Amino acid sequence: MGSRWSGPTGAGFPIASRRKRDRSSPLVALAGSFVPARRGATFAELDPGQGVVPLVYPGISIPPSQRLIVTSLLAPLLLLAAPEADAAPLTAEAAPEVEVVAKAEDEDSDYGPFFEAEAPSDTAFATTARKRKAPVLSVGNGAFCFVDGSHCKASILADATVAAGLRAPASNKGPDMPYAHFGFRGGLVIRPLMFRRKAWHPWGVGVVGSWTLGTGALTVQAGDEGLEQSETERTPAARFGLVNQVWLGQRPHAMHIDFTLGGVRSPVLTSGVPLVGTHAEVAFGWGGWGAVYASGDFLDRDTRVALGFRAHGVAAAPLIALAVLGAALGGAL
Amino acid sequence: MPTESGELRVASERSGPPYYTEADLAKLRARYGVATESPPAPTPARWRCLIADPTCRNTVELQAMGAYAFRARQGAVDTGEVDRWNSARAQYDVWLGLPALTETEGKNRYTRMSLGPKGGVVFSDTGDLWGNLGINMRYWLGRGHWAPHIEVTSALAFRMATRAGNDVMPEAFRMKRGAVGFSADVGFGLGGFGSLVIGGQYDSPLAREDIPEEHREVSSGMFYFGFRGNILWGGPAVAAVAAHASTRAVKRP
Repeated sequence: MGSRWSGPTGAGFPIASRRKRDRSSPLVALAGSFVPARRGATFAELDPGQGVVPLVYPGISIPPSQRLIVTSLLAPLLLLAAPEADAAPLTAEAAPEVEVVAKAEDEDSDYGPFFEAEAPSDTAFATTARKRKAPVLSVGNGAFCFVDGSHCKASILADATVAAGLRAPASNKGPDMPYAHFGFRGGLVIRPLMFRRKAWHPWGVGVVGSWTLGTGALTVQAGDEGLEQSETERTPAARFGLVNQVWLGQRPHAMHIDFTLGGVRSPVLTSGVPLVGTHAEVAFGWGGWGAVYASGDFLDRDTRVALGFRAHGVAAAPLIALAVLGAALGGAL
Repeated sequence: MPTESGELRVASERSGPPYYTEADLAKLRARYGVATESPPAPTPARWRCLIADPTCRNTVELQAMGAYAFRARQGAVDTGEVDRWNSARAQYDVWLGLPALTETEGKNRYTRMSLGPKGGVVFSDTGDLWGNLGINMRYWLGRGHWAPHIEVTSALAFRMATRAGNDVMPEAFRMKRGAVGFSADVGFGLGGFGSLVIGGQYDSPLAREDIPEEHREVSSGMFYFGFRGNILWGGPAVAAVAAHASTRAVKRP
């Protein structure tokens, strides 16, 4: 370009005049001084710093055809600006004459009004849960995680659980009874859309299998000789399902909702015969470390619903070891 | 606007809000006594928030408790009888701590109060085993690594197993159902390492008419006082296992 012109400059000069598209005409620069030049621009950049933009620009040659435009644009502002006692006289000498040299074309190549990164928060906790940006206990920068996380492309699931709820047999099989179980779950979840695209995506899908040991069943039925009751001591159950995840955030320990639908194989009531039924679960988790869930096993004449908590095996294993040790020392086992 | 003398005058910049320049911000800071520089960042906590600390955002804690328990159980209703005995309570829980209330000093953030889910198991004498799931809350009374704090927990507690036998079956550790009760406690501790805890648990009765008599459960409960803390430094783990082991000597009425 190489064009030169004089005028008020410095930190307060309208930023729009530095744009490529504005270099062609000072008039455009003048008009651009009244609108924000770009998102995120500070007012120190936007504010002319000289009050109302002066009309007199030494060295500027405004074509007669455009003088009317300038006058019509600035007239309302001049009418609103009442003269004050400390107002400085506006003359050509009042405005410092500093030459503004237009930048070369490539200097503004990284300049853009849109798609700027979100400003980082200027406050932070002193202790972070992990050393690096990669998810904790992961390899390949989140390509595979041993503890599920919001930025994991594939994660292994391994956790322990306790749950309590209700066991509801068919109406002619006896009363509803409290039900509780403990157990273990394992599986694998992947984030398919994070494999294809590098960008984060909230959806995950995977397969899970679990085994639980629950409290026994009790049935009470009317027979030829009055009420007949039978019971079992415990209720094992094995499940297999498809899990869909929706991650609600990208932070470490981000919350996520998991929906699981699959099958369950477990002895029905007191029959001792394992049948296959439907298993469904909705869970609300925090990273891969823990989750609260509501689940249901729907078998023939035997329905079990439970509310539970599960924790990752890395966290649960030491506690299970302590509990087993204590139970052995305490004579429970 | 042209004046009488024909001189064009415009308004000059006046000081006042909004404050955008460093000089104006300095004036604003001086007016409200705000420090110009942020205080230095505190040293990070050890164990990377596996032991709770005010400088942590989220925490995952392995908690164990060993406690003395004063247990009671409803006896014969017609005579108003109550069975009471001294016992112990061992509890093993996983806690997740999420920042519910934070505060900022300069550029440093601190957790003032954390809330989160927790779950685990509780043991007492005769092999009594309960599962529990609930919430935990910790309120920090300071910002240091040894800051005191108050803990409050509340959970659903449900019987899962006990050591039992009868004429037909030999005594063994067996699954045992119970109605869902609850437990709650409050503790006072230091630095997330350990707390002195006092609390109670109530086991709801299972005594509906439609349940056969031999499967009914009377209401029972316990008050307990003990020490709970993070197992990573060892003390609470020893306390819990010791309390657990001591249940071997308990004589239940």
